[in-house]
Amino acid sequence: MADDVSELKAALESALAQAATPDAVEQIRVAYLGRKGHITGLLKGLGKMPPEARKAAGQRINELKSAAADALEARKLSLVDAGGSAVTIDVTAPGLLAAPGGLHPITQMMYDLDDAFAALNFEVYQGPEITSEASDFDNMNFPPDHPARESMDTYWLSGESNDARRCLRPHLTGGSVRRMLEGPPPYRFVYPGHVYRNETTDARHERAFVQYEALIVDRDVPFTAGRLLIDTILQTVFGRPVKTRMRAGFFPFVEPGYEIDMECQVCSGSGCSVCKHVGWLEVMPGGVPHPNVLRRAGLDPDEWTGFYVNVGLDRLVMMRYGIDDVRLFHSADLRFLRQFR
Amino acid sequence: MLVSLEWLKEYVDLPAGLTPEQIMHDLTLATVEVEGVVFTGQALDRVCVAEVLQADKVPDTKLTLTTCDAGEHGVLSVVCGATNVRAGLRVALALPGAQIYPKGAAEAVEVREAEVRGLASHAVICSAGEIGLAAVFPPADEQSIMELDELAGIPAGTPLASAIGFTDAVFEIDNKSLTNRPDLWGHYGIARELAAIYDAPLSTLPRAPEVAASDALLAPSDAALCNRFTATVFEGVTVTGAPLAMRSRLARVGQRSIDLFVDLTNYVMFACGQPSHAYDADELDLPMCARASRDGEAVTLLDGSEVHAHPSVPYIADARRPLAVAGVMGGEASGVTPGSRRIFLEMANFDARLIRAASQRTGARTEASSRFEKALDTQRIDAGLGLFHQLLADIQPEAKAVAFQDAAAAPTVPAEVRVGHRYITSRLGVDFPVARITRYLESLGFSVQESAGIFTLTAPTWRSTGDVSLPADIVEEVARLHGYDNFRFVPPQVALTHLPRAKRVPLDRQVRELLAGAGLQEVFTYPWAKRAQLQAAADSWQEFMTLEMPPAPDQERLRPVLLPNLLEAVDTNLRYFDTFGLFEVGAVYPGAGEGVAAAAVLVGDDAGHLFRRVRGVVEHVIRGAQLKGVELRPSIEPHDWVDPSVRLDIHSGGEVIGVVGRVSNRSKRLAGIDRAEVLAFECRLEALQFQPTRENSYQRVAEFPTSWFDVSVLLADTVPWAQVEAAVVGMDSLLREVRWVGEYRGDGVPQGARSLTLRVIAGAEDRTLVSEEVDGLRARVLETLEKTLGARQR
Ligand SMILES: [Zn+2]
Repeated sequence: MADDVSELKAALESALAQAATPDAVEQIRVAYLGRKGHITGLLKGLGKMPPEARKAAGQRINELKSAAADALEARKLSLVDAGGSAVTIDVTAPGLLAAPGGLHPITQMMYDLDDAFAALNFEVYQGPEITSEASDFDNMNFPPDHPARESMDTYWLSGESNDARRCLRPHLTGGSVRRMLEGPPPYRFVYPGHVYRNETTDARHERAFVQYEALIVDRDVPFTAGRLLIDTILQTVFGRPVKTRMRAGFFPFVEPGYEIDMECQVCSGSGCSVCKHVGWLEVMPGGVPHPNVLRRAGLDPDEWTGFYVNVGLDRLVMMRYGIDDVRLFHSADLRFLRQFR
Repeated sequence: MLVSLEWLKEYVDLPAGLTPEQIMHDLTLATVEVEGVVFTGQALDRVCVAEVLQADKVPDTKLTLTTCDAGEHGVLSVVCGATNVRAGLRVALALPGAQIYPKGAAEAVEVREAEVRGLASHAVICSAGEIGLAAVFPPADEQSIMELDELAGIPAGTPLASAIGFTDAVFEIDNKSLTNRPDLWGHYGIARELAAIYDAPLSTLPRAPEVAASDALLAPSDAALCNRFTATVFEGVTVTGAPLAMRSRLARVGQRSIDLFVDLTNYVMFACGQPSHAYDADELDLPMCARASRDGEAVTLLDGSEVHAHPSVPYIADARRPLAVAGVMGGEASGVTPGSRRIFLEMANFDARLIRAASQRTGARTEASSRFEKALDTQRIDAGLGLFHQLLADIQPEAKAVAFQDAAAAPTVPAEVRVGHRYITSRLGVDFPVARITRYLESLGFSVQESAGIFTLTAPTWRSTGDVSLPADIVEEVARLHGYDNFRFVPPQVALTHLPRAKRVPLDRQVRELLAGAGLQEVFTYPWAKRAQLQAAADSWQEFMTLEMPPAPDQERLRPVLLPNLLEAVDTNLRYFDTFGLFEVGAVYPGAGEGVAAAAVLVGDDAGHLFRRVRGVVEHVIRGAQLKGVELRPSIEPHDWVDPSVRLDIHSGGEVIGVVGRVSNRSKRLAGIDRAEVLAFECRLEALQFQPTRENSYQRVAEFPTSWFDVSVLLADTVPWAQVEAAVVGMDSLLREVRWVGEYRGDGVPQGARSLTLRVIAGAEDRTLVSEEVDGLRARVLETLEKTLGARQR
């Protein structure tokens, strides 16, 4: 008798260890605890035993029965918990997009920059795309015979009288004066937008592109404050601090004016074909708004000063993703645009 | 502009050990962009001076077998094909390993020892063209080898580069960065800048000697055109070639040698930035003057082009006829020739704008015009004359200046600037003492006085033609001489105020993000549109803004709406995709004004499904951007691009601001779209009001569970969903909501009808409905639909 119980116990343990599925465990349960099961059989056999042995044997069989029930349940749960999907799933199949839409890569960068400047309490300003010679050239301190005024560079509208010519804006800077005229200083704003130049297009030249301008005007702004604008832009674009330098540059609407160079991100400044072996890339112009520009904005240039930068987003986006043809941006080609969603 | 370091060093004593690379860097940061540096000697590596010891014709060929003394490289036998090779000649010998450009070769060829007609040849005797020296040694013809008589004193074997002064570093300076610095358009100007940067000694240029004054050389010039006109007559000159040193310098800065007097005027211009022109005095009918062109007057210029009279073309003329375009280019008729014995030297100063106009009008952009149009000071003529006199005296002592006239109408006035010490320091962010600022400015030629914190500055004349005039200019001078990199970043201090604008995210950004979130891809198109696309999607527009110089002849019109260009984008993408959605948010130019619009297209094959999607997109935007008072209303009016049977209007404030619908077959055909359904919307954005915060209010969540049931009915196609919804919703107060489940056309549904399934949600405020109530509602819904709309249960 004692041997029967021990053997059954050992046999059950071994069977359970080999059971790989909850169904197999269920079959074992039926084999041991079912109506015709081994343990049930033992219990049934009790009646044939001498009464003096019956009590002790009964106790041992009931212990086995309860232990067996626990072991079966435990094994079943562990198999259920460890189990996976009911169907086979290929994890290497491509993911499904919730909604396959997206912003243009330039828009994405523009909004990244807007957010970065919003954190510095800069406002986002937007101005019209049709502008006038007065706004974009006179206000910007362009001399009357400046080449940029000529038709070859600017998209002038036809049928305009000569003293009030309008054009598709060739740059954003005229809009900055417009914004300053809307309210009193100090100013901290960014001004993103599309601009247009009459160019022959190729992989590096487009007729329509996007500029991003940032301007701070206040009392006592040293020119080094410009680094705040420059670093905010480049860190947002490249996701890490980027080494820059300022050097003399001339633009009619700033004095002093600067060319701002960034360390070549391809060679880290050691020189490569991208940076023509100088280690630096010209990335944006900047400078202190010219006194004549501040006067056009109704400010006294002895009292107010500031810093301005203007960067071409097309080129930054090209640098960030390694895009080699600027014309793709206006191609509306989904094969290109879908790479950035 | 090319700048020779060897030439610069004649004027400035640079610190020892300064490398060309360091100069390039320092000049770039402080003054102008140096784009590169070229070591001119490198191209002449392994080319040396040699002497032909013996030259024997090779029978039956045009070749000559020579023996050349190449000094330390030995005595070499060299086969030469040139006819002018002869014993005793000094030649340029390219040794094995040298790079040369044989006639007609596009790329350099390396010299090797070779065998020619069985004869060993250990080097190549070069023509000027083969080693890029045609500018220094103008060849008689392309076959001739160089005859280096001028190098008679140079030992054979000497590297040619050092023998002719080509061991030089030449900087390439970006002309654009020089636009506002007329003082830098010559070596002396750059040297002056380097002297200030490195605090190095600068030599002075010679002054012209006294010359007998005359008043017969010049007639009055046009005062608006000419600020100063000097004329000098030299006698006893011989028109030869210029000396090697001068030709070499000119060649290194890209100027080919012509004859002594052309070279002299060019040399003076590259040295101090002052153009001048030499005439054969015997060809002139004095006096000369600078004046406007007169009707019928034409001049043939040195480049052979003919210029005709025009208000923006000023001439230099003698008493008889025009001779040159002032400040741009000399004429053919009056130039110096080999036979000239008397020279008339014009060295003048012209108005920058007029020269620029003349240069544009004639299409001649010359070294002279590009300098004059930057605005030169009149005083630099003194330096130019001094240099010319000295050079000519050195080269031809027998030449004598016999007459001089100086018509100085408007000398450049030195600019005066008053600027506060505090103005400078606050803008620099550093407290520079007065002495330091004074030192920087004096090194640049300013005269500086300071009293009670105010600087009174007089700029040198070479900085006084528009470049320096403002306090801000002075800040720049101090900053760049101190070195921009040497300033520490000072965080700007600003007053913390409330948000500059209440709404931080502009509406156009909200709309873009909502459309992208709804599964559409943003595209950029151009503000102009092709005529064909405008016909397809904006045919009712009468007025357009147009471009004076359009990108293409059929693209002169600015888009009044966005859809024309979006349809073009659909056509483009249908080549690669069957199903997609695009949108653009951008400027539109309706009539004479400018606005902002949003438009989207959904492309696929099931118009019904696409319509519901595009409608859903519009509703998503209205909800997401919290647009106030915007709603969709059916309309059957014809419109530019929409199929009137599948159309909704977007209304705001009683106005139609947009349209949603199916792009008509006509528009698709005109836009070149032949195989897809396109559903679209376009909406003007500038009129829309969005809420500073959400304005809808809370509705209590039902306390008791609601019940629902679906009803499927057959309905004629003439009965729209809106009627079904209206009929059911108002029927009983227990009916909370009616939802669209689906529609079906096909087997079992008659033509002109559809099977519509709707879900009805019912519930009460105070209890759970019992099933009898729900069954009753269901029966009444069916009955109502049957009676009012002719529905049949399915
Ligand atoms: Zn690099």
